[in-house]
This record gives sequence, C-alpha cells and structure tokens, in this order.
Amino acid sequence: MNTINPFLSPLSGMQFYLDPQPKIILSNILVIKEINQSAEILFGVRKKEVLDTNFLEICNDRGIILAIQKNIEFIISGNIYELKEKLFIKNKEPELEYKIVCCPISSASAPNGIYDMITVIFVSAVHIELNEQVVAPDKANTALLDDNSVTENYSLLNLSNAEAFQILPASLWWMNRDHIYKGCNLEACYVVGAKSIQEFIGRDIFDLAKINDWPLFKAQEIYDIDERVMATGIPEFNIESIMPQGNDAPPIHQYGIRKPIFNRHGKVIALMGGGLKIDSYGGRFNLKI
Amino acid sequence: MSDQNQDPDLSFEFIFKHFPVSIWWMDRNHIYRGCNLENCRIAGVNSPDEFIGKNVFDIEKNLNLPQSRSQAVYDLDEYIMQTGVPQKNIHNAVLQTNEGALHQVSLRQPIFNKDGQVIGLIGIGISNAELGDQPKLVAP
Repeated sequence: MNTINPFLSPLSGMQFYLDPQPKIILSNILVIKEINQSAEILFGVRKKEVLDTNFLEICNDRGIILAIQKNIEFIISGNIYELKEKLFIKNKEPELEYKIVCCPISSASAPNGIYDMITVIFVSAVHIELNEQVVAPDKANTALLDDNSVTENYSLLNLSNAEAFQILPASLWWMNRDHIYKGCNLEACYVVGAKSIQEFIGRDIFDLAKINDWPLFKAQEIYDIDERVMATGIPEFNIESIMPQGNDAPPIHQYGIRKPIFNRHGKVIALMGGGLKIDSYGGRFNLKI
Repeated sequence: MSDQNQDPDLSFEFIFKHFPVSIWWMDRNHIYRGCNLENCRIAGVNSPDEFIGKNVFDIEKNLNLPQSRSQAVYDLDEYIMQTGVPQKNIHNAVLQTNEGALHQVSLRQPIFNKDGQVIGLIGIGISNAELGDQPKLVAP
C-alpha cells in the first residue's frame, strides 16, 4: 500500500510514476518505498521486485549508500542534500553520469511537519532540462520485441491523443473566462510546481503562484496577458516569459502562445495557452534547420 | 482524462484538436502516427488522416519544399531517435505566406519503451504568427 502523502491520489501517483526524472522514495533506513518508471529503467529493475527491499539491492555503489546514510538525519530534519558522489551508469552508451539529490518528505503516518522519508532524485546533466525520458504508456508497449526489428517496433507506437497530450514536453492548459484553469498536461503542472493535475485545475494563476512562492507581480503579469487576450479576442504569439521555480532551482524560460475560444454569440468564453521551454530569453535560439 | 472534461462545453478532444500549437508524433521508422489540426494546417493537409502514415518527404514534397530541407528534418529526427537525446530551440521557417515566412520554435523528444529503446518521437511547435486568416475558434 502506498502510504506516502503526496502520492495518495491515483493521478498524482501516476504523475510520480511517469515522471521522466528517475526518483526513488526511501524510508529513513533506506528501504525502497516507491520507485518510478524512469528509475526502473535506470537501474534495470521492476517496481514489484524491489519495493520494501534495501536500496543496496539495486545500487551497488557503496559510496553513495554511505553518503546517504551519513546524512539521513540532516535530510529528514528538513534539508535538501546533494551528494558529492556521482552515479555512473555503465551499461548505457554513452556512459551517463547522474548527480544525486535527496529531499525530505513525510509519510502518511508521520505527524504534521515531521519528515521520515527521503526522495532520491537522479539528475542527469544531459536530460534534466527537458525531462527527456518519456516512456510510452503501457498500452503502447505491451510486447517486448524478440528481434529488435525496427519494423516491428513502429507498430507498437499507438498513442491516443490524450496520451500524447500528457507526455508532450510542453506546458499546455486551458481556462474559463474567470481565469480558472479547466485542464492541463503534466508539463504544465511541473512548470508551476503542482503535484498533480487535480492541484492545477480549479485554481487561478494567483493560487498556483503560491506553490513556488512566485512574487505577486509574476502572477499579475501572466494574468494580464490572459485577460488582454480574452478581453480583445485577439490571439497573441511570441510571448516570452520566465517562470520562477522553487527551492532555488533555475527559472524556466518559455516561448508561448494564447488563443481565445468564443461561443456562438461571439463572446470569449475560454482561453487556451501553451509554452515551450527555450534556452534563453530574447529569441536567441541555437539550432536552425 | 476525466479531469480534463470538467467543462461540458470544452471536451478534451475539442481542445486537443484546436490547440494553437503543432503537435505530431512518429514511430521509429519516421512514419507519422498522429497530429492535431494546427499541424495539419502547417503540413498542408486537411485532416490527421491525410498526415498519418506519411513521412517528412511525402509531406514536404506536397508543399514544394526542397528535398534537402526534408533530409535535414529527417536527419535531425534520426539523430534524436538514435541518441535518445531531445532537442529544443529548433527554430525554422515552416511555410511561406503572403505576409512572409511563418516561423516555428519546436521541441522534439524521443519516446522510450520500458526497455529503454526509442520507439518514436513526439514534437511540438509554436508559430510566431497565425497562419493566414483563421476563423474565430467557436466552442461546440
């Protein structure tokens, strides 16, 4: 049974499981309590086989284990700890290097404000910015190929529109005329720091801004763009914005768009918007076809 | 997807179909397997059915784009699927319109199966302007 607070609801649990960044949740004695799909791939294990086993079972780098053990009290007293030790995955070509970050979390049984578990996040210098390890939903890869034939492979990619929407590496959302979000994909949650789609829907930008402690002017800036598009009915393009991230993480630069939706009487009733991560502000794109 | 259907007037399918960004995905053989309407407009086809099953050479041939350009797009997609490394900040002219070139910023990301094999690629592009005179988007 999943007893971890932030992952109690099925959808947020799914969000954790599908998170492209490898993550493992450990108890304070380093027993594996949760593992997501990316971590399964990284370590070459299956969740059902490793739950409630010691982290040592899948990570044979004793330096890393010792470093976490040594700092466990520091982490569960509410601190984020970045290991000096790097994890090298040698069976990957090219060999991948991960830095490891440990964050404190609370289990359902922990008293309020007390941390008793840690999330171990494996951060790849290559992959972190884009959440690259997108894994197709189960339905798309029910069979594993015997002969690795590319021709066979392609028939497995059978994403529905809804599945594609969720794994898209761009933030997409829509709202009603009152600026209340009515839907989004997982990347949109990630950008604002929401743990689930449920946490995103039904709120406005000022509510969401509180998650990552955005300054009020940032939320107001986004609100003003949305209001302008809905008031004028004119779509806007080339919207560049900087989205602050919590925990001193670097901000996300986005290149975005807004488009109003009308009813049959010509009145704006909703707005759709999206944003792509870009490297830098000001349209200095570095790769051209 | 029930959470995305809370507003009865705006179903998920309506939103996906009309999202003002190009969305497409392809299999490991570079065959397009899905897209939305905005992508159809950019690709010069009437519906996703006309897009699905084709590759970049088929699509761009109909747009009278040079094969060298299609080859560059193909090579980029192949690089992403071979290396498993996504590419962002791809900035390119996608169409010539009466007002000038329509530009897109796009991002392409490989899709893996559970064994870590790349089985496809998903892409999304945002244009710098609206393509032609688009009618107002009216909810059903």
